[in-house]
This record gives sequence, C-alpha cells and structure tokens, in this order.
Amino acid sequence: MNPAGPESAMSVHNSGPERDVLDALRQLVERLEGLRQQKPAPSSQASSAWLLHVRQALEELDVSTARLRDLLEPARTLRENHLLREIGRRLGTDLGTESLALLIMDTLGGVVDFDAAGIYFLDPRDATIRWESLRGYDTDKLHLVRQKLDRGIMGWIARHKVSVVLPDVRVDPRYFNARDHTLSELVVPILLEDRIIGFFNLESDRIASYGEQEQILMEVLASQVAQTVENTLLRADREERRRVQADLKVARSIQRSLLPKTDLHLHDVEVAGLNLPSTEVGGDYFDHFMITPQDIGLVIADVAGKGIPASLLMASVRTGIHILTQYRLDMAGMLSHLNEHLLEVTAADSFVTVFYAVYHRPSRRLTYVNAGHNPPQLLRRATGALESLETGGLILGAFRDAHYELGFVDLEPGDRLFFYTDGLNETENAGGREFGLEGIAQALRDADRLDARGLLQHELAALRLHAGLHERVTRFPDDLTLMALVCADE
Amino acid sequence: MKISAESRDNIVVLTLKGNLLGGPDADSFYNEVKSFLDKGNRQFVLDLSNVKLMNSSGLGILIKALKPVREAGGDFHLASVTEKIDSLFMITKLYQVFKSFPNVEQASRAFE
Repeated sequence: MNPAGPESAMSVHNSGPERDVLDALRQLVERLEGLRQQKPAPSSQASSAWLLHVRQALEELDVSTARLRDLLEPARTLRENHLLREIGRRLGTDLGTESLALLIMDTLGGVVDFDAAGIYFLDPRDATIRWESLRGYDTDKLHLVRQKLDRGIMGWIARHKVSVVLPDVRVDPRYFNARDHTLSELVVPILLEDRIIGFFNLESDRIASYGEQEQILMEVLASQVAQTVENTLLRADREERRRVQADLKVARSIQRSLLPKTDLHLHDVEVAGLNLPSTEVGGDYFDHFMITPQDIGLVIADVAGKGIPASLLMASVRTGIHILTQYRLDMAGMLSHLNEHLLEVTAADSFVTVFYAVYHRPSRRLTYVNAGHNPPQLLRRATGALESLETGGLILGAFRDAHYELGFVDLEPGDRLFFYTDGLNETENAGGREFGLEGIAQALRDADRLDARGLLQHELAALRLHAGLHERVTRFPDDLTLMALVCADE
Repeated sequence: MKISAESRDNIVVLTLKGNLLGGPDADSFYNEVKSFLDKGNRQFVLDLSNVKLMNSSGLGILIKALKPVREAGGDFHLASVTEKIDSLFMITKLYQVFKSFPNVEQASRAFE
C-alpha cells in the first residue's frame, strides 16, 4: 500500500480516541452478552429491572456507535475525496468515458462496499447497452444481468430519472434477481441533461448496505462521468465543424475557379465582374468568355437560396451554359434546353434567374435573353438615359415548356452596361429602405468616367455607404454579384 | 408569416400576413394548401395585401405549392399584390404563371 495513499487513513481507528470507543463498545457487547445469559423468567419481578438494564446498554451502544461513526467519518471522507480528486485529474487528460468508468470501478472498492457492480452505457438510438463493465456476477447469469435494464429497477429509473436505494431487495417488487446473494442494491442513473446515458449499479450481500451518503457519492461520480461524455461529444462536434469548415473552404476555391480569373480588356470593350458570397459558398454566378474573336458571351445568374445547395446548382448552370454555347444553338432555344435540364435537378421550391447575352464586337450589338433576372441597366453615354434589359421569359428550373424571347440592343461608344444580382438592390439600410434601382442608377451616373472595375468598386462603395457598413466589409447579408461591360469611347 | 384560410363557395381564400422569406414558412404554406386539396378544393385566392417583404425563397414557396394545385386541375389567383412584390413578379416574369387581380373579390369572381 502506498503510505501516503487513502489506505493509510484506515489506520486512524487503531489509536487514540478510536481505541477508547472500541474498548467501550467491546465492554458493552460483553455486558449485553452477560445480560442475555442472565435473562430472567418472563413476567417475574426481576424481568422489569432486567429490561431496564438492557435498554440502558442498548442506548449506550447507540451513542458509542455514533461516536465511532463520527470518528471514522474523516477517514472515509478522505478516501472519497481522493477518489474524486483522482477522477478530476483524469478528466483533465484525454481519458475516454469508458476508461473513466473502469477507473471508478477499480477505485470504488475502497470507498463503498459492494459484492457485485455494473456500469452500463446506453446506445442513444434505442437505449440498449452500448458498453458495460461488470464485476461479481456469475458468468452463466450475465444474460439475466442484461435483463435488469428493462425489467429491474433500472427500467423504473429510466422513467423516473432519479437514483434508488433498495435496503432489502427481497421486499421490493422492482428488483430483478440476477444474483442470489444480493440483499441490498444502489442504482444511480448517469444523466446528460435530461437524458439517461447510463447506470451505476451496486449490489451487496448485506441488508441496508447503502444509505444517503453512498447515494450522494455515486450521484457525484455519475455526474463526473456525464461531464466527460459531454466533453467528448463537444470535442467531436468541434472537430466535425472544423472538418465542414475545411470542406467549405475547398468548395469556395472550386467555386472561385468557376468564375473568370481576370477582367476582359480589349481595345473596344472591357468587362469586369465580382462575386461576394454571403456565406463560404453561394448561389450567384457571373461569367464572360470569348465564343469567337468577335463574340463575347456574358452571363449573370442567381440561384434561389444560399449555401451549398445553391452553389451546386450554380455549377450545374455554368456547365449547362458552356456546353450549350458550344452547340451554337440559338439563344432562346438554349435557355429552353437549360430550363428543362434544371427542372430535373432543382427542388420544387428552387429556381434560377439567368441573364445570358452575346456581344458582337463589330456591330456592337448585344443579343440577350433575360430569364427572370434583375434587368441589367444600360447607361447611354450620349443622352445619360438608363435602359432596362428585360426581354426574355420565365425563371429557369420551375416550369416545363418555358419559351424565351430574344432581346436586341445596339451599344454606342462610351455606353456602359451594369449587371447585378438582387443582393445589391435588396440590401436595406437601418431604416429598412432598400438600395434599390435608384441607388444603382445614382452610382452608375457618378461613376461614368471610371473603367469597368472602377465602376464595380464604386457601386460597392455606394452600397456600403447606404447600409452603414465599414469600407472594408466584403460580406453582405445576401450573395452579391456585379458585372460591368464598358464600351470604349471613340 | 401567418396564414389564415377561409372557404367561400368552394374557393379557398388564403390570407398571408408578414414576410414571405422562405425558411420554416415554406412547409406551413405547402401543408395548408395540401390539406385543402385533400378535402377536394381546387381554386385558391392568395391575398397578399399584408405581405410586406418577399424574396426569391418566398417565391419558391408559392411555386412549390402551385404544382400540386395545377396537377389537380386547379389554380392560384393572386389578389392585392403590393408594389414591391409586384416588381418581383415582374422581374421573374411569374405573371406568365400566376394571374393577378386588384382584390380578393375580383380574384374569386375570375374563377366563375
């Protein structure tokens, strides 16, 4: 034994006041034995005096026993404290729940009497035993031990969620016999918030082995175990979140790779775009690409909803447009095809708005289809007038047999075309007023000498000013995508 | 969002109050429409006079509920669409799909 360990505390009652009490007890026991031998005939005159002596001795016995208990109490508390401290120490390490349970089983012997013990952890899905550690049961009766869970006192506790002491199992109908010698039992649930995740079960071959003190100790231990389970769950949760976060970062970089990497700078026209998802990934999309050296394809799209589902659909829209562009379908037919394709892959409450255009450089003609998207705004250099590009048809991915109309507009030198998603016009200020078409138009006019990229930055600055956001903010309440096409001045 | 329903002459008038922005509202609206369909109702008037805000997810809610109504041979008529929501229907061209009327009265009468 480790002399500094808990066992050294047990030697306390071998000296000092403990010895006096023990001597007194021994004398009392001898006195009672003597009285027993001198028992007079019933109802004789001596019998009432004899009874008085017995009662006196019993009272003294009570007093001495209480004194002894008080004297032994610190030793017991010391051992309990040692156990709790040891458990506390292990809680700080990476000890698993099961190892902690085993540690408790191994150390419990010095503190609480038991002839058989079990610790059970339940499967949260169906409340069957997930893990158990048993001591003191006959191996051929283990199947009965497991039945205790449904039929014994544990079944009762599962409903009432409190610990139970059975001083005499023979008189308690809730007891389920899996061990013939057991006379008293203590069962404590391991509770995580309001849910039972396991049990401690102690059985003793003596009557009334367990009282309030043992009950409280085991409840404390059970709550310690529950704490490790909670810590383990929290840790797993944190790791899961970290993993999802890492996945989202990858998804974001994939999504970024689907967007044009550079602005388009040609002698007669330039195109710039930016995409600011409100979460790691978003459902907005812009694109500009050379179909032929004369023709520039231009796309802006918005998937209803946000996050991963929207981003997956957005990837599907991009693939569809790029494949259909290669087939040189007429643009209206192309959007009908895309609609049918998206109908297959979108949820019943999801859809996509798309503005698709081809800019023919020699003629400066823009041919477009607006499938339910916020109409791009064309600012005329010559007149300062603003035109909305609305011709087209229904949103994509919601209704079968949608038909689309082509729109045409001839651009002039210095004209600028601004594309956006609803994250721009719908952003509200503190007073609940949206940035709106007015905000967009004002910023467009204010930026009429800036290049395409500068125009986008100016719209963003105006939006931040409207919403009262810091100039470095790049994450807005909704996904935000902007694109600008600027025709060179003559 | 709050939904109240009233059935007059086989026409179900659904009055929406608050914001239609997707989320948990999606299921409650769909289930409400479904329960009337199960009772044999086919004609629905959607009173939008008290809907303050609607976004694309809110539109998604209406689109999703329209599908089983159309499949059962019925229809939705919109009534009292406010200016802001009107522009949403304009942009998305959803007026090609949803018929809109100035008020519940006219929307109901249009079923006759």
